[in-house]
Formats: sequence, structure tokens, C-alpha cells
Amino acid sequence: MKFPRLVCQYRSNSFEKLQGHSIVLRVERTADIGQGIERVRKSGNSLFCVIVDLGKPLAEIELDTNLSKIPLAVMAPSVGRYSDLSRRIGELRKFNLRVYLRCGNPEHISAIRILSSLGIATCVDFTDGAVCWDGLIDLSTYALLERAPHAPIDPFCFIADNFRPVKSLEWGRTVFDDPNSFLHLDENGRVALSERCLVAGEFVADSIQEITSIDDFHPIREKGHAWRTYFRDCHECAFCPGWRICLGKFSSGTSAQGKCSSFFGELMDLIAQFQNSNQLANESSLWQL
Amino acid sequence: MSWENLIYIADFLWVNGQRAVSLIGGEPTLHPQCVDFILYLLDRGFYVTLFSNGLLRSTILDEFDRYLMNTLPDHFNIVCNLNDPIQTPQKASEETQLRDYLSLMGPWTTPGFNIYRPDFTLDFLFDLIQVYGMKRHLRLGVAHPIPGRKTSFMQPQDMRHIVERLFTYRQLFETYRIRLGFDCGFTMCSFSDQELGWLRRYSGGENFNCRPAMDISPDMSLYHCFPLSSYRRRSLFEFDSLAEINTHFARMRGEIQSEIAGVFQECDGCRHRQDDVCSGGGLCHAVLRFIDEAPIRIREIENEISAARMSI
Repeated sequence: MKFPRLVCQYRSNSFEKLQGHSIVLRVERTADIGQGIERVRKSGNSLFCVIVDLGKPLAEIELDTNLSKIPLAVMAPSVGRYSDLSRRIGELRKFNLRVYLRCGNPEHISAIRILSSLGIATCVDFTDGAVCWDGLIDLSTYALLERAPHAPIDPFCFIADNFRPVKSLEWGRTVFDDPNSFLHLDENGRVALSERCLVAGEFVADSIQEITSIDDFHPIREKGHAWRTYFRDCHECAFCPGWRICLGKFSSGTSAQGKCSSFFGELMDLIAQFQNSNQLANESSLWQL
Repeated sequence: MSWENLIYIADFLWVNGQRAVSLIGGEPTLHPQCVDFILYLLDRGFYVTLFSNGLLRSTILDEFDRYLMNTLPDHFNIVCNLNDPIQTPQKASEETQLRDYLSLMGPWTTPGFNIYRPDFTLDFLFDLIQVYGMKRHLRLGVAHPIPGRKTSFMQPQDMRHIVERLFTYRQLFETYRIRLGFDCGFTMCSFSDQELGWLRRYSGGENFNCRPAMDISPDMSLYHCFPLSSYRRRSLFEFDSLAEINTHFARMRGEIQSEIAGVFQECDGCRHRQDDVCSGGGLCHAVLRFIDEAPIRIREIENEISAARMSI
């Protein structure tokens, strides 16, 4: 299995002690983006993408046009007023970026749809646990079945493209939350399995050198098999129709009244429709050949 | 109108190849996100027309100034219905609002005039167009009846008089190089051949058809046009394409016109109506006559009219 990419803070120098890794650089100031990219390149590592987390609405984020080819993951607390954003739409379309918005606020759900309809890739960020489920059903329908051209909305598009009924799919990687794909390093080089663990100070290794192989590293393997506990404990999530996608991600109780269950149930139907229509499209093109 | 509904409409129009969209209202500038919606539709690549009375609050005018001054007048157009200050006097504050609006948005504005009395005058328009640099295209409409409501409107028998009066301004249209465009409701037979020739030569936009405007309300109800806003409303969600909507309205028009061909007796059997060059006036006139004429032979229409009668 491929070694995970390493998510490192710009202000730490943890990646400069590494060699040959794929680095996700997290920056909190626009001025740091260019310098950070340069430092990663000089360190002997490759740059996978830059997480731009400025704490500003998207409408207020100014990006250097030299970054247009760099993959950017823009974490925005909001989009800001559309009139202000409108001036920058043309410019934003030129970047290789994806905008991440949290989905606890109905306005963010609308903003994701607006951005997608304008050709800007977006991703719903579930990581803080608050979710506006009703809005998400409409949004996922839009993401998967809308006929008008629009940019992908992840994780729905990722799930629909990769979901197979007989295999579990870890879609947390769309928000850098999957230790098989991403490990998070603090300024001392200690390793956490997710950003949440990093903030909580829950580290699984003191340095990346301790992890020689992903398959043999117990905490990662353990996390990959965490879904088994739901069946062992007869947790209600294990009996949920949406289980095969959700895998218990919302079992902590914040998603009250089974709304997560009906959402993931609907998402399963949408994915079936999406995959059927893709299959039909492929069949007809084969027939024409 | 919510963002979700606006995006749905934009997507629906886009996949059906329609690139022009109008924001009509009531008065659309009263919507708190009016400027946001305009900019969004422009960003999507639509040609946007806004219908306004030009009486904009200063806060909205400031937003127009801040956000819309870089838009191309070819892409963003405001149809502003103007009233004769003598025949329809406005309050001083409204006059100021209108002048402030025109001072700022004149180049984006297509003047409009709605004929609601036979002795209308247009002199004031030529001055306004000159002073504020508006688009040199006058959109001319006639006041239509709204079936089910008591409103004043132009009677079909006044149509010839309206045309004659309109052509007294012919010289001014030519001098100021202002083209004339008709909204629906005009009948071809109200114009002489000479007048039709002039329209073709100087305006090229003569229109004697009553086509569905396909108005969509904030709750996504779809109706033929404003005068028929309470007549056979459907939901936009019931249709998969513009072709389906066109078929729906064509069927509706066929049903109505099989009963009443047009605003004049002569419309029945008229070759221009049969050739679809002229619709025989507005469909709303025919629906209005249904209200007064009994018995009604088509059950579907009768049911609608029964509902309308309740509100009269």
C-alpha cells in the first residue's frame, strides 16, 4: 500500500527533516503559500496540495495568480456576500482549487450549490459534526443527478464514482480524514491519525520514521477495522440501511432523530441511479462503436 | 425566491439552450438579494433583463453603483416603465428617485411605456432618452385585462386609435433614431400597410403574437404571462424541458382560441392568425370573455373560470 501523504503546518519545520514524502502543506496566511511551496520543494519532498485555512470568507481571500497550477484546498468559514464574490469568480475558476465548507449551516449548503453551478469544485466538510441533513439531501441530488454542467461536489461525487456494494469505501480522504491516505504531523514531527486527533494531542507515533509500513502499523490497521465494533456491539448503526456508505461516522449521537440514516439511505438510491445512468451511457457508446 | 430555486431555474434554462432570463417582480429591486441574483445569472452566462419602475431606494442604487457598473449593457438590460409626468403625476420624492436612477443607470436602461389611456402622450420620453443616454429602443405595451380582477385596460376597439396616435410621433422616432418594439397585444389589422412598412423599415421589430412569457413565481409556479397569472398555473417541477412547457401552453392556447379566435370577430378565419403572423390580440382578452359568456363548453376552462368568478 502507498505510504500516506503527510499533512504539515507551514510554521513547523517538520517536513524539512523528511525526504521523499508527499506533503500536504497547511497555511494560515496567504503570504506563506508561495514560501511554503518553495520550502517543500527544497526539502526533497513533493507537494501534493496546499490547504489554505485563512479563517476568512471566500470572497475576501486573495490568491496569487502564480498559484494557478498548484492544487489548493481552500477551507472557508463562509463564502461571504455573493456580490463581493462575483468579482472574483472568473479569477477563482482559473485556479486548481476546491472549496471546503462546513455543512451545519443551510447558507453553506446553498453556497456549495452556487459555487458548483459556477464551475468551482467544492467539498462538504463534515468534520465538526454539525450537519443540516435536509439541505444535504437536495445538495447530493443536485451533485449526482443535475443535468446542467456543474463542478463536482465531494464527497458525493467521490462516493458515487467509487462505491461498490461489496466493498467498504473510506471517503474521509476527501477531507484529509483517512489515515490510509493522510497522516497529520505536529511541529515536533509527532504523528496523528486525523486533524481532530492532532488538535486533541492524540498521537500514534513520535516521528514518521516509526511507521515503516502502513499494513503493519497497528493504530492505522485498527482504525481501518473500527467498523467491526459496530457489529460486535450490536450498535444500531450496524442495522442502518445507509451503513454501507456511512460506516458509523455519525454514531456519536449528534445526528439525532435518525436523520443521518434517512440521508444515507437516500444517498444509496441516488448512487444507484447515478451508476445506472453512467452504465447506460457507456453501454450505448459501446454499441455505437 | 430562494437560491436553490434560482439555481434550478438557471440550470433548467441552460440545459434547454435558453440564454436570456428576465427578472420581473412586482418590483424585483425590493428583493434583498436582487443584485446578488443579477450578478449570479450574469456569471452563469445569461443575458439578464430586469423590469423596474426605476424608483430605487438609495441603498439599492448604491449597490447598483458598486456592483453593476462594470457589466456590459448588452448583457444586462433594465426595462424601466416610464410615465408621463403630466398625465400621471408622481410625488416629488419619486421624481427625484427616478432621476437619480436614470442618472446612474441610463445606459443600461431600455425605456418602456404602457398605454393605458387612448389619449396617451410620448413627448416626454424623447427628452428623457436624450438626457439620460438610455437605449434607443422603446418597448411599447398596452394595458391588458387580468381575468378575475377588476382592472382598467385598453379595449380592442381602441386599437386603431392607439396606432394612429402612435404614428403622430413617427417623425420624432426617426429624428431621434429610436426604434420601436411592441410588447404582446397589438393586432396586425390595426395597422395600415404603410404603417407596417414603416415599422419594418425603421424598427424591424413588429410583433403581433401573444407568446407565453413563461413567468415563474418564487414558489416555482409557472404561468403563461402576468395577466394570466391566476389561470391554469402549474409547477415548473412538472416539466422536464422547455419543449414540454411550450407544448402545454400551445395546447392551452389552442383550446381557448378554438372557442374565441381573437379580440375581433374577424379574427375567426383570418389568414394572418392561421399563418401565426398575428395572434389576434392577447389571450387574456379571450379568457376575460369566457368569464362573461356562458355556458362554457370546455370543462377545464369552466372550472378555472368558476374559481375566478369566486374572486370577482
